[in-house]
This record gives sequence, structure tokens and C-alpha cells, in this order.
Amino acid sequence: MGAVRTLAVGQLRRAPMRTAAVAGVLGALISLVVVFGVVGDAQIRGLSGALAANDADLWVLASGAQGALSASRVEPALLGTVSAVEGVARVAPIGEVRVGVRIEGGALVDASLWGIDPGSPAAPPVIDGSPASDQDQAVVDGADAYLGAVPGARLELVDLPATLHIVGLTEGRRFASIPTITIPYTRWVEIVDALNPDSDEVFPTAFAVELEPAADPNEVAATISVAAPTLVAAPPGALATELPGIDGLRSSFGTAALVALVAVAAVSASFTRLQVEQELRVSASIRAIGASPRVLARAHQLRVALLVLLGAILAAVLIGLAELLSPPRIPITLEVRALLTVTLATWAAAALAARRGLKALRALDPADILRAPA
Amino acid sequence: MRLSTHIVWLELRRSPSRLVRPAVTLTVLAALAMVLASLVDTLDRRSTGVLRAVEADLVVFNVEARQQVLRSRVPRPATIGVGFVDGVHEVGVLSVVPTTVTHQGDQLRATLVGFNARTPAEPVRVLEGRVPTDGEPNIAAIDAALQRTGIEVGDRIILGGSLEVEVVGVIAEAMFLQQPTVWVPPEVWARTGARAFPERGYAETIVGIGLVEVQVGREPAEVAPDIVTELAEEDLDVEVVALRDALAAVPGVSAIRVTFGGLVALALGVVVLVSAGLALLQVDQDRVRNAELRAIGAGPGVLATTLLLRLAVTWALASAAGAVLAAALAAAVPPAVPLAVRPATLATIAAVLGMAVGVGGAAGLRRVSSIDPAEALGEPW
Repeated sequence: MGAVRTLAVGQLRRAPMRTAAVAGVLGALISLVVVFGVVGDAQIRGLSGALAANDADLWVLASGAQGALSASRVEPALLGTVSAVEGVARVAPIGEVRVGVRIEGGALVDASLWGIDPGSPAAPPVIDGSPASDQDQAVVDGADAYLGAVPGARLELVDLPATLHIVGLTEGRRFASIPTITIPYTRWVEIVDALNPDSDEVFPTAFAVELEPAADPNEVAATISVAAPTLVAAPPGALATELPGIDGLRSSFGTAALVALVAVAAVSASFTRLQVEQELRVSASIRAIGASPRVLARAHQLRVALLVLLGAILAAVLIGLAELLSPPRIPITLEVRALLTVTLATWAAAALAARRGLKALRALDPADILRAPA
Repeated sequence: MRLSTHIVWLELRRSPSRLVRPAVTLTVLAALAMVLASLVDTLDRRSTGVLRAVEADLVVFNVEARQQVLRSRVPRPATIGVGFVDGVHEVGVLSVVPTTVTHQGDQLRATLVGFNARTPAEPVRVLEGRVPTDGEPNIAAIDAALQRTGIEVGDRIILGGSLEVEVVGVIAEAMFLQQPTVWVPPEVWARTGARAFPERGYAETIVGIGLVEVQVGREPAEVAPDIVTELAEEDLDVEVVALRDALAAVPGVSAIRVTFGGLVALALGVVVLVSAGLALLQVDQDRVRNAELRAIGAGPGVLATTLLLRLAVTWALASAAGAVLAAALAAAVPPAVPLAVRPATLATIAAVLGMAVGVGGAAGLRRVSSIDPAEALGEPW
């Protein structure tokens, strides 16, 4: 093993520029695959987290909305119909509307304003501060802290003379990739009413349902649709996957990560094969002075593993740098499991390519070194 | 040049794998870059197709809408007023609302677009049939994305679960927020919209956005402030932006451009680095052979031309194969994956890749010129 290690490390040391170049290329490609996966997940959470991570057992939407929250309006009177369905323990209205806000007097930004009572089955858990129980209190998602949305900050609604005060933070509950604000439902009704002065009534966007412990969600959902044919009920997680655009974005990031993974495997295999072939002459020399083909093969494989390891370390550094330097809108984080998976795939591809290239070593005649051209 | 071409040609015949192998690696990189760029391009176009389908210079929003097409509610008097502003050639209105389309029992989501025919709000590319004209009851045109689901001209579809209309035409793909579109006269839109958003009420006198075409010879940027000023005198607060800015303001587009675009730019950077590195590795691989050629009289110019020619062949093979791979992948993936390749995107990526290989080759030229013929003997002198 000592000879194998000496040979492998010696090969890396002899050509430091080439070692750095190959490790750099592998590191860049590995970091790219990992970042695609991580950012894709974060983007999807930012678009649909308010539903995907919601604690309610079922959400009830208008059936004609086809899962598009912005198009859903449920008749308030149907709250009683849903409450009366067997297996339903609690029902509460949910409202969502887009508003323009200024956070602490800053720039005008679009926000998703949710009306959910703190005791509702759909209420977001507060991880810092307190729930919004008062009319002018609000809970915001911690992902928007970079905009100044932190407990104690002031939110001005630009279309109304209304100001809210942030009292708590939640996490993973963003919607539509914009700042997401939760206020008590009655306050939400007041705001929507003021935004639409000609309207007679404000309709909730959905109902949140908490089921009795033994109730089957599918059965209850079916019963709700029978009791009120204009309504459709589904677990919020399932509704999140059906939001407009989610499918396209998820498949885009998935395709990008997959193609990048294939690319990193192919490039690492190709570079490895090229190197093995370039060094056949050196290998022949070492063979001529007594090294067995097995030792040479092991030395090559060890070098491949070291190069991939160097690439993975470099990838971790690159992702760390990107995490520090990227704008808050691009939520890059280092996910060790993803890094390990991609590194293993890269190593496997490189090791296989090296194995194929090393077949020539077995047939190598040590005497070749005496007659081969320089 | 002839000698270099001869050397490359002989090499290609003698050992094609020496040229093909790096071309395969570069093909993978080219395909990666082309697929990524096409993904961003398609995501962007499927979010903004409605605005790309029309030919307008300026877009008029009500101020409260903050440039959001879905939210904009410009009063009818404002769009009429725009038509009288100096420099405005024509104005049309366009409104959107989420809806459902039911066809032969299948229901899918779509965006309903109300528009004025024969104005800048009319879609430009009609693929089949015609577009509806104002006042025509219960007819619609669909975009090519909706046609791909099996709806044809002459079919009847149900909008919003209740209004049956006949399809009279198909326009080029004009998706909005990743959903296909149905184009109807303003009255049909107003009726369907009133059902979807009852708190807004029936709003035939309210339109979504105004689309303005300016007179020939006038700059849109000069006309825009005049429209704002003119309407402000009538107590109508509007915001007028160039079509390009309206495209960027569509929800999700800036996130796609910043996030996905940023990652694709990063990927392109990596591809450029790897391509340049590959070119340098080629130079290293050919060092011994180049020394032999130098030893038997080939000048540095011949070696340099040979290197560049080999890289050009590699690049051409890789670009063509990468484009074929990207197109094949786009054809193979399900329609939900927003991957549609356009020749312009492929050509741009091929050009970027060519530059990267060229940069690597340029760095390699220095190494080629410094090759010592004595290296052919095995030991540097």
C-alpha cells in the first residue's frame, strides 16, 4: 500500500498545475449540481411553502379555481356546511390577497397578505416573537428578514392608510416568492373590503379543516365535495404541488440538476481516461523497474479518488463562498448530503473510466519502454 | 494551411478516437449549456407569452397595479384618453383572468385573455383560422399550447365551468404564468371575470391594461410621459412603461431571471473554463508528437494552425452533436417540462463555446511555440 500511495501522491505532486486544473474543473461542476438542487428546493419552498408546510389536515377551495389560489373564492355561508361534515373537528377561513407594502418606510414591494387567525388549524408556527393576535399585528416569514421584515418593524400598506407591526417570525411559509405576511382574518377582511370599496361582501380564499383523530382525510374530502359541490378539499401539501408554475419550476431545476450530473460524470470520466492514456509511457517505465500492473492500477485509482476528493473540498469552498456572496434572493446553502451524493457519483464515473483506460496497462510489455518513441 | 489541413485529415483517418473523444466531452458540455439556456428561455417565454404575442410599444397600467397585468384595472375613459395623446398611433386593451377550460370532459387550467381586435392588443401570429372580433358572442381563439392538448378549430370548450364557446382560431404559443391562453372579445372576458372575482363585480367598463403603438418616427420613451400627464389632468393615475419593462414585471419573471439565469450564467462560466481546460489538455497530449514534427522541419506556424484546426473540428462536432442532443431531450421530455429549444439559443451557446475553446487554444499556442524539437529525443537538452 505504501508504494501505491507514494506513486499516487507522487503523480499529483509532479504536475501540480494539472492536478489543480482537474480538481478545479471537478469542483466547479460538483458545486454546480449541488447548487441547482439546493436553489431549486428553496425556490419551490418560496413559491409554495405556505401550503406545502401547512399544519391543517385539509384545505377547501372553490372547485372552479382548479387549485389556483388566486382564483379561489369560497362562499362564507358554506363554512357551516363544511363544519357539519362527519369527521371535521374544526374549520376556519383563510384569506390571501396581493398588496403593496413598504417595510420600515423602505422600497415598495409586492407582498402576499394572509388572513389566518392564530388559533386556526392553518396558523403558521411562530419561531421568534409572538402570534399576531391584535388587529394591527403581523407575522412574517424569516426569509424576508433581509428586507427589514423583523419583529418590531413597521409595514405600511401603500393602497390604504393602514400600518401593521411585525410581532413574530415564522419559517418556510412563503408564498409566490414574495414577502408573506399573516394577520388575523377579521383584519384581512377589513383590508380587502377597503381595497374593493364597491364590493358587497369579502369572500375567503379557502377554509382550513382540522379532522377528528380517527377521520380519514380522503373520505372527509369526498364528503365535503358531495355536501357542497362548488367546493373541493385536499391536503395542503397536495394543493402546493398543483399551484400554477410549480410543476414547470420543479421539472426545470430537476432537469438542470440531472443534465449537470451527467455532465460532471462524463467530464470526470473523460479527463481521467485522457490522463491514464497520457501516462502510459511513465507507467511502462515504472513497470520496467518492477512495479506490478496491480500496483499501477491501484495507484491510478487512488489518484482518481484523491482528485475527486480535492474537487469535492473545492466544491464545498465554492458553495460556501457563494452562500456568503450571493444576493439573499438566491438562497444558496451547503447541503452535505447532496454534496456527498454528487461526489460519489463523480468518483464512480471517474473510477470506471480509469478502469477501462487501465486495461492497456495489463497488456503493457516493460520492454516497450526501450523501443517506444519519447 | 494546406499542410495543417492535411495533418488533421490524416490524423482523423488514422486514429479518429483522438479527435472524437474530446469532441464527446465537449458535446456533453455543449448539451448541458444548451439545455440550461433553453430552460431559462422557455420558463421566461411561458410566463410572458401574452405580452410577447402582441406588437405594442407601451403598456398602460393603473398606478395601484404596480405593473402587474393580473391586477391592473385601467378605467375605460383612460384608454380612450390615451388615443388622443399626441404621438399615439393606436391603443387597444387587454385583460387577463385565471379560468378553466373543459373539453370533452377534461378540465385544465388556463388564462382567459380579453382583447380588442384590430388594435395593438390583437395577437400577431395566427396559425390557423382567425381571432375573434369585438362583440362576437361565444367564440374564442386558443394558443398553440392549448391546441397541443387536443383542442382543434371548430371544437366547443367550456370556460370557467359555465360558458360554452366555439374555437375559431389558433394563435402561436402565448402562455401566461406557465398556463395556456384563450383569447376572447372583451365582453366574454368581463362575464367570465365577474364569476371568478365576484367582489369586483361585472366590469365591462374596466380593462386590464392598455397597449399603445406610437406613431412612426416617435420615440416611445418620449410619448410615455405625455400619456401620464394628459391622463393626470383627467384625474386618471396611470403608469406607462415600455413593453420590455412590462415583461420583466410579470410575477416570477425577475425571480427566474435572477435565480435561474444566475445559475445558468454560472454553469456557462464553468463550461467555458472546462472547454478552455480541454483545449489545453489537448496541447499537452500532443506535445511529443509536435516535438517530432518540429524536429523534422514543421514550423511553429504549421503547428499552431494544426492545433487551431483540430480545436475547430472538435468544436464543430461538439456543437452540432450538442444541439442534436438538446433537441432530442426537448422532444423526449413531457410537455410539463418547460424545455423548448430555439435555433437562436443554440447558435448563441455554440458561439460562446467556440470562444471558450478559442481562448483555451490561444493559451495553447504559447505552449506550442515553445516546444523544443529536442524533446523528440526523449530528454530536454
